Amino acid sequence: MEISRPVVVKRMPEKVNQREARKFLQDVQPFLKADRPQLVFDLSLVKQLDAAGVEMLLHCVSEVMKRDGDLKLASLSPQAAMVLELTRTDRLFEIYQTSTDAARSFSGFLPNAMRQVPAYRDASTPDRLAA
Amino acid sequence: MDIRAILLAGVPIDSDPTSGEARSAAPEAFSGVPLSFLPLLGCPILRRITDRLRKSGIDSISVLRAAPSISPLLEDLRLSDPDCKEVPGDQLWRAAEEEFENLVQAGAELVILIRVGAYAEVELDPLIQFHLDQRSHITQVMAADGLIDFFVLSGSRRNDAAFLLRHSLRKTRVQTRPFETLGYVNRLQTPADLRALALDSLMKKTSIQPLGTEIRPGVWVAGGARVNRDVRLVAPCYIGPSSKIRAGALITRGSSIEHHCVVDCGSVVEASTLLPLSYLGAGLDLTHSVLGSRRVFSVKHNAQLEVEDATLVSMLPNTSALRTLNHAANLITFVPRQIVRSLIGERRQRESQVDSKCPSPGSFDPGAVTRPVTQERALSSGVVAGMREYGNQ
Repeated sequence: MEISRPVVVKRMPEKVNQREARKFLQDVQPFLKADRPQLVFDLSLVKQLDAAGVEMLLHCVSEVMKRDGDLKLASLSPQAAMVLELTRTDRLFEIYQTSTDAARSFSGFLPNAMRQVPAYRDASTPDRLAA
Repeated sequence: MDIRAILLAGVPIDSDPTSGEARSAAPEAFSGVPLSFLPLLGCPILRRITDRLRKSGIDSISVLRAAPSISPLLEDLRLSDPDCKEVPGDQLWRAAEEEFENLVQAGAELVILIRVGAYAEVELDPLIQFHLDQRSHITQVMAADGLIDFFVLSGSRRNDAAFLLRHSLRKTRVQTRPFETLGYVNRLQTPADLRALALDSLMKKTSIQPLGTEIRPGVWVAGGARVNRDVRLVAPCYIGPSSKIRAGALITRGSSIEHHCVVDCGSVVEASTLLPLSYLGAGLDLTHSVLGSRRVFSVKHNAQLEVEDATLVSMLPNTSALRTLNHAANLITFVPRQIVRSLIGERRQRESQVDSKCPSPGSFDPGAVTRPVTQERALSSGVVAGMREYGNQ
């Protein structure tokens, strides 16, 4: 039974532009290079995320996938969620409401812990449009 | 009967008339511009309200507008209604009082006072009849969800009007029965309301008509708009004048794109509004949002985001000369940019192959999401995005 691999949780900075993204990538580089890395990025502080930040996330996930690991996102701020949706990258990650849920999910599937999609539906959108 | 109207626009609902301070963080605004000043389906909302009053037979309409901060989004309003008076925000109520006096002296028997504010389609004839039947000094209009800032004032009751204006429309001297309207009302308090108004108008729930030609049922395209032949327009939607929709884009579910916008290749605009001069980068997915002045308001998340990255979202110059210069500059630098991009691409590919160094982020290629994945390509971030797009094939 395999239980000993650590889950690394990293909190992303408030502003993730090119410079910050590079700095953050340097910080997490050792974890990305580990064998079957298990990473969680906490995006609760993120207020600004630009294309360089998205690129960095994609680079991280590709590195992790190469080593048969996984990268999950947690506690997305509305701003971060908006940018990920805008760039169509939200579907590439497992997203959890809290870092704890994300960390726990490595040891078992937690269907209820996945980030709840707001029960939004444009009230004025007719059914045929919402279909 | 001599009926005239005063419209107060751009005054925040919670401004304090005693201190004379108009609070800057006002609701009913997007990017510092009052929602009623923004264009909707080709024409500013304020202009639509004045047009509606004129159609109802009111020829004399005084528009007093609190002067907001300078924004390119206000150009439409300046051009569409050059006669309206700009008043400093702290003097608006005083100016309204003076205007009321002027109208009464000019012979007005009834004055309709509207704070825009809400967009309300109130039938004037029943309202005036109600006011006369009740023998009220002031009659306020009530919508299904409460009172709105829409009043009928008797010209002979100057004190009542002054009291009302000095209390920024929150108090009347005498309690009167309100007139209940069954017409369409949108309070226009948040950008989400603006989105709802655009959708309702496209669904013909309001009397607002998009300015343009209905090329297919529910698809409106204004003059000068350039829509690539590979673009899919799903009704209802509106494309404003001089907007450019590039190949592979999808405009759907009640989206409204105002004038001089650019939607780049492969982007999806779903149930969203693009305010004038907005640029939406290639391969993006804008859903349930209002985009303008490099800001995105998400109806879904009820949050606003300022985007600094011009590859995602930016604002185009507001004059045609600057836009032409911009295009010329892009054209001149196109070839050098392609050379640099290809050199960087080759270097990155080598780095990825040897897997030795940490690559520098910052050249996110949104177009990559539309490219098919090939086995030969290294597993770069662009490829991951491609896998997402074509993962089920």
